[in-house]
Parts: sequence; structure tokens; C-alpha cells
Amino acid sequence: MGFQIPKNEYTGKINTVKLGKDKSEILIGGEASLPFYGFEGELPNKPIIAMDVFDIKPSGWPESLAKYYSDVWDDPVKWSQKCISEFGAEAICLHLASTNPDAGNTSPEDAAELVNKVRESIDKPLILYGDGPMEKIAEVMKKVSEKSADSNILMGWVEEDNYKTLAAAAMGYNNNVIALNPLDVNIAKQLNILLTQLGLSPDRIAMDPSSSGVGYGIEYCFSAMERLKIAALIQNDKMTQMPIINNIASEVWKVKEVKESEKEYPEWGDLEERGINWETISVMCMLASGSNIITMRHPKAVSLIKEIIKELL
Amino acid sequence: MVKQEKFFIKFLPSGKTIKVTPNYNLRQAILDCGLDIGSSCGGVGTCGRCKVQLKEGNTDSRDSKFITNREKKEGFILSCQSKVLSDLAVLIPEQKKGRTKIKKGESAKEPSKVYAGICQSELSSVEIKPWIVKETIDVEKPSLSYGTSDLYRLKKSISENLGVSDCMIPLHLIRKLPEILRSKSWKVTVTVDKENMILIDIYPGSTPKKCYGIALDIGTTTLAMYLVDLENGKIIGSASEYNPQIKFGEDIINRIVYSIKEGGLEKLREVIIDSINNLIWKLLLNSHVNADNIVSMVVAGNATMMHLFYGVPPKYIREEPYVTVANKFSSSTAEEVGIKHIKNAFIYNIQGVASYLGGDITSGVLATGVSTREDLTLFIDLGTNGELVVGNSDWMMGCSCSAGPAFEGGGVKCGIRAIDGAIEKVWIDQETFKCHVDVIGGGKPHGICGSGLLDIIGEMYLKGVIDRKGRFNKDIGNKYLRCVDKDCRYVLVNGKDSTTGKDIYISEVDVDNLMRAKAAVYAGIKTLLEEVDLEVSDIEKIYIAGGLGKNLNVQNAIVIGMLPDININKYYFLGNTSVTGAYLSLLSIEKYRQAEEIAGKITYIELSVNMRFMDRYVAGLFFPFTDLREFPTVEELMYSMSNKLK
Repeated sequence: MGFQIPKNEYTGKINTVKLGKDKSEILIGGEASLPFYGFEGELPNKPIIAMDVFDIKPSGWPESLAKYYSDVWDDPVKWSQKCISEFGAEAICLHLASTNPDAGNTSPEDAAELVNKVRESIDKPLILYGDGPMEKIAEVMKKVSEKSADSNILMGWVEEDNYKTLAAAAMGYNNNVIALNPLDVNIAKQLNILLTQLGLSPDRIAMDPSSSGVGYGIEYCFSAMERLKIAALIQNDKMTQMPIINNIASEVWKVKEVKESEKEYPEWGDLEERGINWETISVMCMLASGSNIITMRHPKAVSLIKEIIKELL
Repeated sequence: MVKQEKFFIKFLPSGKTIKVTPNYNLRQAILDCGLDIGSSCGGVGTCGRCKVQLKEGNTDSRDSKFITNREKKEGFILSCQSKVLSDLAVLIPEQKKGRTKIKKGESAKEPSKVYAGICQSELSSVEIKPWIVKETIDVEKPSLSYGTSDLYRLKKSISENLGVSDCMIPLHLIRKLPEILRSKSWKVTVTVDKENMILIDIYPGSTPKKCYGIALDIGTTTLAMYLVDLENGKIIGSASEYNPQIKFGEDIINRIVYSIKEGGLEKLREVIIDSINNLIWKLLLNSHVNADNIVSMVVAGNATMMHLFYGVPPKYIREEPYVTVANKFSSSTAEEVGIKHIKNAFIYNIQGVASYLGGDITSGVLATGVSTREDLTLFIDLGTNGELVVGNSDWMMGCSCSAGPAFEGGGVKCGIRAIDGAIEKVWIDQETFKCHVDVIGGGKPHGICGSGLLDIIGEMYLKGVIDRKGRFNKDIGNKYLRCVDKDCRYVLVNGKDSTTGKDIYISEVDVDNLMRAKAAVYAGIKTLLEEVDLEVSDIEKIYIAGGLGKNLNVQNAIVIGMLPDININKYYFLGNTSVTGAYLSLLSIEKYRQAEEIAGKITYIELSVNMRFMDRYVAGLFFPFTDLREFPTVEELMYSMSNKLK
């Protein structure tokens, strides 16, 4: 008798969430097995790469990364378009950093205006992360949702403190929300219960379990995500069946290992290569533990990850 | 020698004064004065309860999030974070203080009757067989032909009359012996401890045979005491009081921390002994019992409380691997432990199981008879720690989970003990959100006791006043919800209808504290049962003990996810079982021995290192529980209520 791969039976399934509309529409989630275990259950939608775009010129980016974007980073529209056409981004993750009261305090109206402009100029779905105190984030996203009604954007983020405003904004204008939790399965579930009980459909929620890069506690993220997926698939726990988004680029690109020059740390080797490896490995860990959407920055890391995903699926 | 500069502090409104060295800690100065000051953190600045108002003088005070800008301008400071820099006048705001509760003639031949209205039949009954006896005996006269010693002849007579051979006669009694024996022509009355074979006291002639005893439960938050007629088992009076050590820290850990400080242990011992003396004095006054006739006292309490009571350092209870100095202390005279009024009485204590499963639990198990029954029983003592024992006559396992003082009215702004004036039951009108309350004793309310708090949380959740995370729903038109900035309170009773003249309310912080307490209890129950591979449904009876109140709305305790969602007919609420166990032990030597057996039989499980416990605890910070499937009937109830609303 030949060798047979042992197979797990899964009773649950990850929810399918629709992002974008018409030309930009894609589906995420929907898998009926653990990540990349195509032999155990179907994996209808592959994980997608959302490239980071900021609404103000970012500071503190190493030259090895900045050099790809410095020509467009004054204009979020051009930046988004470059990510898509040149680097193959499958979605754009727009960080509304300037809405933070400490960084320009852009008004909800202006932010919503910008989101509209970016959304209309690209053919990929749009993911948003607010910035600043919870009240401001809720205020901004409420306006954004209203202005971008019916376009299935994915808005971040909701926590226990602001879930009501944002969930209502998503429900009223047919958009999606990111439910953020501090690496905790119970709190993730609690937030999902609160959101769904308000009337928000489960297929309008993605979970962000908080992320960190290699060397900064990625093992913890890995096991928290693994627990979420196991609860969703094996225990058929409805409140953990939301797809997962990892906002990991922000974590990877702030550590000293991707910023310090080779001159400073000769034993660490070439800075750019180091950054690419750091991001690729961090992202791969997240994908292996069940990420459905991953944020990224370095074009070379993006193409490497795309290759790996293709290879594995 | 340079004269050390000293500052003079006057405390208002008491007018008490003290002199201290520069930079002396202000809170310490308050405590040194013997004044009450709130604190649950033990003086590290994290609870914000030791707030005082500086009227005159200067201090070096650290800023605190507990002091608002307005309060800062008015001179409010945290006393524990303040150093004295000059002469001061300091106003100490009125401290929430419980009155001593004395009940007179709450008599009953059967211990069960003590708990009117509470499920009496579930408590053990006892055949009164006191082991401290008082008898009048004749001692043989000496003569030239029978010249044995006084002591020998006394022992011989005790042996013949009471069946206690080789009775130990303490030195202080031998000193009085020759005169006592001779003063009423060799007729004496002796009080003998038959268990330990010790002569407790001796009087000339035949004094009245009356013998009384005291049963005492030393809880982390509350003291409860019975004065008992040892002849017929009647409870002559009962009294309760807050544990005065609260001001040094609300939970066990903070008490232990305080005990390590210089003079800390002595201070803690001093206040508890003072308080016990006080209770005894009040009971004696009320009952007209002669102090000389009190022959014994049985004390039950958790390990830390017993260490502090006996003045034994509890330090190592807090350090891994968490061991006690003793689980049972040697019997001693009242005088040795500093108990006044009843100097000659002997003090006995009930054996504990482990550092965090003390004699109070052994006592509770004894009182409820868990160890004598075949049916599988879960015993829950809801105190400052939630302690659990599961088992039957064949085996028992126990654990402890820190619940905080919320169940006894601590850690909650309007919380009080279950005394007259405490709200013990509530009902919220679904339309208007007005709260209707039942008050113990029927008068105006003063605060809310543990059972009232559980009831309120359940009602608030059911009626939509709070959400699953315990946050107030602000958009439902609840006009009893008063918000200032982010601080919201749900007002149960208006100031004009309360005895204090202030609103009685629940704040979000209160809900949080109760949430943590209930999460710890449920996590403890589930984890303990899992250790022995049992399901909640396997349990035939659940006994709930604790000084929560007279009644407990089990249904609402299930609604908030504190107790497992099973048939409520399996639940029995029994009140303070620790003092009942002590009472039973006082009356019967068999029960006293049985307590020792019980302590030896319970296997202790440490939860502090249990990952599953922590996981369930976090899952429990939600109403009723993160996994809603564990509370099917609650979900059904919520569903039908929301339908009704629609």
C-alpha cells in the first residue's frame, strides 16, 4: 500500500469577505483548511499583498526603501498607482497618518476626499488605517464610509471603545471593518460578538490580531493566529471565522535591523538585502499561520512573496 | 547632638495630632495615629483611595491620575505619595465604614436555624458533645496516712470524675491550687479540655455550671462571631465587623506585603486582636454572660489571617513555592494571643489545607457535610478569594482563585457588607430604567452588599443598561445614567432616599471589578472540574457560601456568567459556613476531629501557574462568557427579551 498523507477533517470554514467593487473587486478568505493545506480542503482565494501608502511623506524610512518611493510620496494617488503598475500590489493599504492631531490633524472631510480620489484612481481594493486617538479615528472613518459608500473598502480599526460608531458607519454605507485585538483569542472573539450583535454581518469583518516582525515576538503572533484558525476550522467557532489582516510592514520597517547601515554593523551585511529578507521572512511567518491580507513595502520582498505563494498553492 | 527637626501634623476632623520627622510618609503618619485611611494597594499609589485634603502646610506629593485638576487646586493629594515638608493640617475625608452588627438572642438549638430563609437542611446537624466541660468535683483530703501531693489528688479526682487521665495542669493554676482546694473544703469546680487533656480553670466550691464558647471566622474582609451556650448549643448572640486590617491592604497579598515592613506584622496583629476584643466585649455586654464562664474559642480563617492572628510571619505564603508556617497552630490560652476579657479560655483553630485553602474552607466543608455524602458536590466560598472544593465522601479536591473583595462590598464605591441598610435585591424597569431595591431590614438603603451587586449586574445586563463588556449603553435613553466626562454612573437610589444623603450608584469601574471577580470564580470552577475530568453537569449539588447577603439570586449569577449554566435547583446558598463550622467544632469534639480529617483529605491544586485558568479568566471578562455556547439558557433568555422589546 502506498503512502497516504494523513488528513484533518475540518468542520468550519473562514468567511468570504468581498473587497472593492466592479473592476477592483476581489474575495478574501473562504478557506476550508489550514494555510496552504490544499490537500485537506479547498483554498478558493489566495492571500493578497496590500502595499503601504501614506497620506503624508513618511519619515524615518531607510534609503534602501525610500529610493523606490521618493518620487511619488508627496502624492498618494501616484504612489498607489506606482505600487500597482510597477510592483504588482494586489491592494492598497492607505495610512491616514495626517489625521492624527499630532501630525497635521487633517479633517474627516479632507481625509474622505483623499480616500475617494485614491479609490477612483486605482483598480485594486482599498484598505485604510486611521491614526491618533480612537475618537478621531471613528470620526474620520465615519466620514470616509459615507463618502465612499457601497465600495467595500476595509476600514481600520475598531476596538472595544469605538466599535459602535465604526460598525454603524460600515453597516450604513456597505463597507468593511478591521477588528483589532491585542494578540488575544478571547478578546478577538469578544469584539466579533459585539460587532455582529450590533447587526454587522460577519462577512464584513476582518481581524487584525496585531503583528510584530522577526525578532520582536513573531512567535507569539504565530501561535495566536494559529489558535484563531484552529478554533475557526476545527471547533467551527463562528466568532473566529473572520479572515485575518496583518499590518506587519509598519512593524518590520521600524526596527533597527532594517535601518542601520552596513558601515555601522559590518557583520550584518548589505542593508537593502537585509531589509528584504527581514520583510520576506516576517511576512512568510504570518502567511504560514493564516494571514489573508498582508501589508508590505519593499518591491523585491513583494515579488519574492508572490513567487512563494504561487509555489505553495 | 543636633536636635532632630520634627513637624507637627493635625488631622481633621478627628483633631488627632502627631509629630514626625521631615520627609515622613503622610499615609504612614495617618496610620501611626490609629486613624482609618482607605487603601487597597498598600500604599504604592495605584488605588487612589488614600486621598486627603491639605489645609495648611507643604508636602512633596507626586502627581496622580486619581487627582483631578480641580481637586489638585483644592489641595487634594494621595497621602501615600506625599512626604511631609512642614507642619500640616490635613483633612481626611470620611471613610466608608461599616458598623458593628450585633444580633441579640439569635437563638437556636440547631445550628441550621441560624440561617433563617437560607437552605437550612443542607447544613450539618450536630449532637452536642462539648469537649470543654465544667464539673464540680470533690478532691480527696490529705491526711498523715495519705500524704500525696495536692496535684496528684486533683488529677486523680479529675480522672475518676471526667475520665481524663493524666490531665495537664498549667503552672499558673498550680500556683493558686493550695488555697483554692482548701477554701471550700476540697470541693472545686474544674474546666477541662477533654481533647487536649488540659485543666483550663479551677474555682473553689461549686460555681454555676454554665459554660460558654465563642466561634470566630476571620475573613480577609469580614469578621463573624457567635457566642454559644455549650450546654445546649444555643447561639446567644452574634456579631460581625469589617476586618480592621483592610486599611493596610484589601487583599491577602497586600497584607503580607505590609507584614514584611518594619513593625507591620505586629501592627496587623494588634488591630485584629483589638477588633476581636471589641466584638467579644460587645457580645458579653449584650448577653449578660459572665466572662469567666467563657471557656473556649474556635477560630477559622484563611492561612494568612491565621498567621496574622497568631503573630506568625506570613511572608513565605507569597513566595514560591507558597508554603505556610503551619496549617494548624497549637492551642493556646487567650492570654497568650492577647485576647482580653476571657483570659482563661482556650483558643483552638481549624486546620487548613494549604496556603490558599485555609481553615475557613475546611470549616465550610465540615458545615456543609460535603465529606460525608456520596453525591458529588461542589462547594464554593465567595470571599475575597473564591475557594472551591469538589468531591464527596471518597475524595475531595480544592483550589483558590483571587476574586477580590467585591463580593463583600469592597472595591466597589457603594459596596457594603450584608448589614441592615444594604441593598440585597434589585429589579430594573425595562421601560424607564428605574431601579427598584430591596433593603435588608427594610429601612432606607445605605449601600449595596455582595448579593445585591451580583443581582444588579445581572439586571443591568439583561435590561441592556450595560453591554457584554460591562460598558454602559449610552444611547438607550437611560435617564438614571449620569455622566461627567468619561465617568458614568448608574444611579440606583437618589441621595434624598438614602441614609447617607448621597446617591447610591454603580460605576463602570465597579462593573469592571465585579467582572473580574466573576471571571475568576467561573474560570476556577471550570479548571478545577477539568483537573478531575468532570463536566459541570456531573455535579449533583452546588453549595455557595460567603457573607454576600441573606439571599443570592442564583439566576442572575448565572446570567452574568459567574456560576455554570445548569439547573438552578442544584444550587444552595448557605451564608457564612466558616463560622458555622467553627460553631460545630465548638460543640462537638467529633466535629473538631472531623475537620482535621477533612483538611488531610483535600488535594490542593495550584491555579496561579495554570494556563487554562488564565485563558478562561480572560474569556470570562465578558457577559456571560466569550464562548456563548457554555451559557445556552442565558442566550435564549437574552434572545427572548430582545424579541419582546422589538
